[in-house]
Amino acid sequence: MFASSAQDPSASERSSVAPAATAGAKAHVLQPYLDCIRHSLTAALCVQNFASQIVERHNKPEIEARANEELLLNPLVICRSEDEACMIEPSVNSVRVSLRIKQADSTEEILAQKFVRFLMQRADNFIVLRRKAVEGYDISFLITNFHLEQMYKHKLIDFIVQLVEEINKEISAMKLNVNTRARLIGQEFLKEFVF
Amino acid sequence: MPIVEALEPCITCHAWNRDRSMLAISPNSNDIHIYSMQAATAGPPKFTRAWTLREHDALVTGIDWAASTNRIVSSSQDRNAYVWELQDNEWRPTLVILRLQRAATSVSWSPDEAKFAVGSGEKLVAVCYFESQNNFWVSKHLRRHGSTVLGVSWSPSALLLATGCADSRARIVSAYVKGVDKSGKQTPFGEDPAFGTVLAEYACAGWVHAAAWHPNGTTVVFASHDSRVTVVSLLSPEAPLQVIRLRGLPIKALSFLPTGSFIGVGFEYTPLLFRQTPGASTYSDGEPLETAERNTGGSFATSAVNAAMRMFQAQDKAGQEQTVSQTAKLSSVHQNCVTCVRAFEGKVGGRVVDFTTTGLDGFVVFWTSDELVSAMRAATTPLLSHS
Repeated sequence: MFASSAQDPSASERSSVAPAATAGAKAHVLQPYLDCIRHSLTAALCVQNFASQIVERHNKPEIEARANEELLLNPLVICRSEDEACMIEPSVNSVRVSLRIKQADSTEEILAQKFVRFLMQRADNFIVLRRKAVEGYDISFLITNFHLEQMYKHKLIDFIVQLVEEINKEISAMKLNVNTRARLIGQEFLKEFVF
Repeated sequence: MPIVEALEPCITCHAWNRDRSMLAISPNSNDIHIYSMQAATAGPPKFTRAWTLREHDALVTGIDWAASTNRIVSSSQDRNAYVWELQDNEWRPTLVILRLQRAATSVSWSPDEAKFAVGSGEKLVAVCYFESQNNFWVSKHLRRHGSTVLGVSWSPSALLLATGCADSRARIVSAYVKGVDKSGKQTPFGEDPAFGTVLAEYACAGWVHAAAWHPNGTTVVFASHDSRVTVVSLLSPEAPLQVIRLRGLPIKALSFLPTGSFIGVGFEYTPLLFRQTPGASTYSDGEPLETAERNTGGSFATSAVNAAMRMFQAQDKAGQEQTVSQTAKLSSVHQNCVTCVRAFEGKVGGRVVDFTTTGLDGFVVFWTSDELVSAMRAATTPLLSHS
């Protein structure tokens, strides 16, 4: 689904721009939002192995267990607009990142829903993806200390930032495709009535 | 450049023996690996794994090696601690009667090696000592903590304990055990303070990860998750002497050098050197030991699915392969959170090594005085500092 944007050379160019270098000509509208997410995630993803205080020999993501107030940090919401936001909920051993995707009309709504459903059904393959989104958001990630022991933090952040960056592009592209197809079908259908 | 050795895929903590020829590490698992190190006169040292200690059945969270008695103590999330002794070329474990119901988080020998302290998720510190009548290690519980104890550190006199706790409090408590410690010892808080008394308590704005004592025993430093280092002088223990705000991410482990300066490592990957102000107990703001800028620009992917696929293809490698692929490499020496720092004071490859660090990237890094000197030079040159 994302593959179509892979052919878009400008997309690859934009995504490779480091945050520091964006002050120049290449800055685009989304960049401040992405930079903000990137820096907030860098600060939030300071997690460590932390065994449960409640149940012996258990090790649960504290952000999901929510058993101890003092182990949770204040959640942070980064809003680009009312219907496009990113919530970061850090805790001592896990961070939950939730995204709200812009849905301007009913076509985009359907496409976004189908799209995140497709991803979440394959949550196991995505490792950090949560099977169910946090209420009010379209897609959620749960990053624990175990993920950060296996993967590089900066690459994980790149992955999420890139997803935010491309998800809108992807949905608009799909919307265009749907519309083009609908127009074609309509044309073909109406040809029947041409004498 | 510091000397880097990639020993394991991931390292939780490490400890050296007295003559720095043996290294005990926990490879982020239930085992403890002991390596023997042959330090060559030039070039990198040679490591060979001598023993694997297998007794814990959950993640090993702390290792400490007593220099003179040559005992190793290890703590684990399985609620146990073991004291290991070398007999007939074999490390034999003795179970410590910790009486804990939750994970042990950290462990530290007292400087006189008669006691050790185990921080735990049960909101207490277990202070353990050897009971010769019963022939095993017993513990006394030091309560008065509001959450998991993340770090413990002994005063040089072995009477006081500095603890860092997840309830955002740094404490100095008395660990004077009657019968084990000689009576009549003086502390800044009076003679023989009763076991378990909280002598001083400091509020921080985040979980307190680590504590460390100055070798002279009058200064304690605490590192907390709000990216601050709190310096406390026991000459006036009512309030912190100095609070250092860091420019980067929080510090997770602290260690003093014999010079009175201390090193902080953690989520920033780069060790920070805090220099003692001459003639005072205050410290500098923390000079990074590598001055190169970190490069976090994502220059590897063209689409999110591609990025995801590559990440997941790479993630098993990232864990298991010892070489780091070029695109993923950061300019810092460590590539993941640095979780442990130990003073070294020895020579490796013909260079004086002041301290060693290990991190979740599996590297053991030997930091030499060259790095310390260049960090100090960078700090005194205004153009280069904090660029």
